[in-house]
Order: sequence, then C-alpha cells, then structure tokens
Amino acid sequence: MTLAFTLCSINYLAQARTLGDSLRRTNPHIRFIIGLVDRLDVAQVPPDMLPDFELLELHNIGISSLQEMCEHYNITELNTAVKPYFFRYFFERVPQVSNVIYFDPDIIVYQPLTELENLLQKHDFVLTPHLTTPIDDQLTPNELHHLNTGVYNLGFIALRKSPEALDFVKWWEEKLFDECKIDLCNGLFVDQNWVNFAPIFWNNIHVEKHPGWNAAYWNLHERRFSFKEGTHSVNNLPVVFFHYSGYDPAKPNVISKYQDRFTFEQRPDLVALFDFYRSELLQNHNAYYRQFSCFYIKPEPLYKYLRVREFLKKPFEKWLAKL
Amino acid sequence: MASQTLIFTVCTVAQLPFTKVLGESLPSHISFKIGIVDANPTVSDSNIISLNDLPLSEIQLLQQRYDEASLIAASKPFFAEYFLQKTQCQTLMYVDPTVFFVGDVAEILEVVEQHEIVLTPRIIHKFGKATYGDEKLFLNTGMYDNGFWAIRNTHNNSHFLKWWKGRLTDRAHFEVCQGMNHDQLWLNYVPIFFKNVFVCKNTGWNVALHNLHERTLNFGGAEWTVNQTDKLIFINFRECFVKNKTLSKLIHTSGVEPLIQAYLLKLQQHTSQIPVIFSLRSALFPVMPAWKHLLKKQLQGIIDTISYFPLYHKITK
Repeated sequence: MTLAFTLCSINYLAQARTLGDSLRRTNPHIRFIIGLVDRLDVAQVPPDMLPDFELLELHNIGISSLQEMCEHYNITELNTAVKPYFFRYFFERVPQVSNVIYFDPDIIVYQPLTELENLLQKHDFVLTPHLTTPIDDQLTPNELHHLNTGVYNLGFIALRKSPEALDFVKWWEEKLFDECKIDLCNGLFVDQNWVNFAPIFWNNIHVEKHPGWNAAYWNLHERRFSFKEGTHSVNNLPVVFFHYSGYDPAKPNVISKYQDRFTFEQRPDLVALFDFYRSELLQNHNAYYRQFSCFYIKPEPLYKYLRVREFLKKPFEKWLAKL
Repeated sequence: MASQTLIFTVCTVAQLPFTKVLGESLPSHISFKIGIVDANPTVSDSNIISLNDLPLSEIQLLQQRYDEASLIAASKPFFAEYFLQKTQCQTLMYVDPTVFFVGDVAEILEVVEQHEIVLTPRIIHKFGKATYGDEKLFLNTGMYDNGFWAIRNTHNNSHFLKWWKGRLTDRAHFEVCQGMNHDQLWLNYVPIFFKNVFVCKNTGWNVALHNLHERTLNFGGAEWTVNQTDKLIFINFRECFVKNKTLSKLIHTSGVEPLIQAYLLKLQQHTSQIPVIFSLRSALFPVMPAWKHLLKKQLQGIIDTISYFPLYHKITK
C-alpha cells in the first residue's frame, strides 16, 4: 500500500486540500494524510471547513522531544523538521504500508504515479534534483543557490519501507532535532541540505530526472510546457506533478516570490498551469485559511530603540571583526 | 592503456617538492604533468606547464581575481582541457600535489575505463561528530573531493569541462556562506548534470585527514589495507602536516602515521621545509590563542546583550 502525506499549518490548508483533490482524481488508490503542524482544538475551525481528508496533528504522533523542538525552531524550521518523524510514524504505525511519499502542500499531481511506485519496488529512495541541466545565467535562483541549500528538492521524497530507508529516517530525525535551521555559513538549510548525503551514505537511491516530476520555478529554464486536450505536458512528456512554490493567488502575476528569471509575459506556456492552480486555491478557501496563525509559532518581542542599539553595538562589532 | 593516460596536478613553484614525491610514486610509463599558476615562474622543465602559457583569454582575469588557492582550484579545468587537446590522451586524472600512490594506479584506470567521470566522496559513512569536524562541515564544503577526479576524453566531458570552466572563472572563491568552496562544491552537480559518472566508495581510494575517522590502515606484510577490506591505493597528505594534539591522536589511532613519516622522509630529499598548502580545516577553524578566543566570546556577549536587552513594544503571537 502506498501512502502520501503533506505537512502544513492551518494557514496552508487550501494548498493541502488542492493537493489531496489532485491525488484523489489521479491516484485514488493512494491513501492521503495531511500532517498538521497546528492544533485544531485551539484554532476552533468549524467542522464544515475541515478538509475531507485524514488529518494527523503533530502532537498525536508521539514525538517525545516536541516541546524542545518548538522552543528552538521557528515555523518554517518546525514544519520541515518534523518530516522524518512523520515518515517513521507511518512506517511503524500504519499496517500494510510499503511506500511513503512526501509532497509539499503546494504541489498538484496531474498523472497516475505508476512509474514512481514501480521505482519503489527496486529502490529504497526516490529523489528529484532541483536542476537536471546547467543554468548559464546568474539570475535568481541559479546553480550557486542550490550549492549550500541542497541539490535535491525536498518538496518531494519517496521511501520504500526497508532497513536502508528506516536507517536514513532515523539519522534524519537525529539531525533535524536541533539542526534544521537556516544557517548557510554553517552548512545548514532546514531538512533539505542534509539529503545531499543520501546517495553517499546509502546505496539504493534513484534520482529521477523526468521533466514532469517536481517541475517548479527553479527549473523552468529547461522545461517548456503545453496544454492540449486537457493534459499538461512538458518537453513533450506529461507533467506528473508541478510544484507551485512561492506562488500567491493574491499576486497572480508573480510566478514565484523566490525567482526573477521569468514573467508570465515571457513564459505564456505556464499560464494554463497557474490559472488552474489559482482557481483551485480560491475554491478551497485560501483566503479563509490564511488568517490563522500557527499554534506553534513562538511569541517574539518587538524590541524598542533599534537605532540606539545599532549605535551602541558598532564599536564592539568593529573590534570583533578585527580579531 | 597506460600510455594513453595522463596524470596531472596543479600547484605553485613553492609547492613543487610535493610533486616530486608524487611523481616518484607513479609508474614510470605513465605521463605526468604539472601545471603551475605563479605569475612569473622561473622553472624550465618540459613536464611543467605555466598557466601563463595556456592560449586562453580568461587567464589574466583569473590571475587578477583570485588568491593563490582559488587560482589553483580555478585553473584545473583549463589545464585539463589543454592536456586533453594537446596530448589526445584517452584518460586524464587530476590529483593534488600532496597525493601519494601506495597501490597500483592501474586499478583506478580500470574503473575509469568503464565510466566517463570518476569522483570520490569525502566521507562514506554517517558518523555524527569526529575530530575533523561534524557532518554539516561537509554540507557547505562539498560532497566529493577536489583532490582527485578522473575523466575519459569524450564528447560529454568536453561539456563537463566547459561547464566547470565557466563556473570557476568567477565563482571559485572560498566563501562558504555564499555557496563557494573553490572548485569543490561545484562537484555536487556532476553526478546530476553529466552522464556515466561513477562515485567510487572504495575506502582504499583517497584516504585523507577528513576521512581518517572512518578508515583504519594496516600493513599486512605485503600490502597496506584499509578497514581490513580494501587495498590502499592512494592517500592525500594535504592536511596531515598539522601540529594539533587531537588531530595527531586521530592520525595515530588510524594507523596512517608510518606512511606520513615515510612521506616526510621522501619530501626532505627535495626540500628542508614543508611547503605551505591550503587546508580547508585550518581555513574554517583557524588556530587561535586562548586569550583571543575569550575576548571574541566576551565581545559577542556584549553585542547580544545590547540586541536583546528586554525593552520592547509588545510580544507578537
């Protein structure tokens, strides 16, 4: 049995529902679960606004160190840090599970995942690289940006229940307990950079370079899209899943807030994919869910006298830089 | 096969003594060339090629832009392309000047023969934290070692060298916060972008200070073995000349010490002083006197106190 899950807080439930709807349309045999990094009882979401998918709240998967993790992580870090803990939960607690797939909530699956399930019969891991061919310009993001954040995109990872994959999950849990931070100077970029080690420390890994897998703003330079007879294609192959990272339906003219390479004017081939996504999100009550702040967000003080602080710190910072 | 193979290294004139020892460790029938990057080199040897003499427009730019270590790193694909075109060799292998071959080079060439690009990972097993550093140290410095790589003279590899040259022309600095560690971090892309790449996890290849914690060396009478399984083929002594108590202990327990001593004896025949060479670990963790360390800590403490002195407007939720 194949299980797919995503992770988000209540503010991203429109995205998670859109992903779930797409899986239901294309892969009805796959069990889909939304891992919720939030508390429904505190947020008091009315029952008619709850998604029609299985919801598994973070506090119910038995992470013994959850309190500590909440204390040292912000919301992005926490949402990514709990990924291996959910993998372990599914492997250990869901009977008959053989494959577990993680998708970021801002993904739409457009095709049956038959090829992925076939790959998981032979491999313990399936990953997708950010780029499969070089980018020659230095716009954002370019090759350099993935060198200290991770060459594989962790918006997608699929694991087969096997001793190798369980060993990886256990190692990943240990790393992400306290080193799931964004600290580029020290080699840390949430859960993603760690996975550079997967093909080194473990052996049975498949890196899929099909242009229709995990197509997203970072690899648009190598992928041309088209839409004919209800099917989205890329480089003449079907789009299997598209990752709408950094897209906000409130700013429909922006492909992603994280890139400056393309506009929709330059890439009219993307319009059909994004029009569909926007309408799906609006239908799934994006504006409503966006109002919720996450239960796990730490309260942070807004400090006074910032300029005075900067002025006082200056001589010490200069001294420190000289040492 | 061997006559169609060329091994090269890149260094400065001051580092040439290393290359003498490296050359002595190679079988005599294998061509061995040395690229040097000094602005005004004063050596005359047909096996030594100066970066200045490469017929390329980018060279002056590289020399202006980079410090010595970056220039050495950046010039590797330029030299590689030059050697492939000039000699028409079938297999080209780069090794650091501080590499020493203990085992048979032919074993490497057999592997290269079956692929187009061969790389070695810097570490092979998960370990948490070791004397050299912890796992995350490898994340922003590169998965594959830049002290060894081998390629065959193929059409695909002309793309690989062109790609690498393009990146190293302006992005071969040592600035890990910006995703740059000379030529090494770029290698992370090689198994993804290029065809027929083999990542060799044989523990007898490319033994170096950064992987000594996972490798124990033994001399079994006739040959050296690593972890009692793989034959020792080559070592890179680049970072092994340290005078640091904990690292010395690591060197001692790994069993590599006699090989270092033997290497130093060979090196002494060519120089009275060990030439200076870039060490990643020393660059990341510079040796600092205790008073300096304490002062830095105190200053950071003062800065943090000013930043977080508890006077605030409100607490967000």
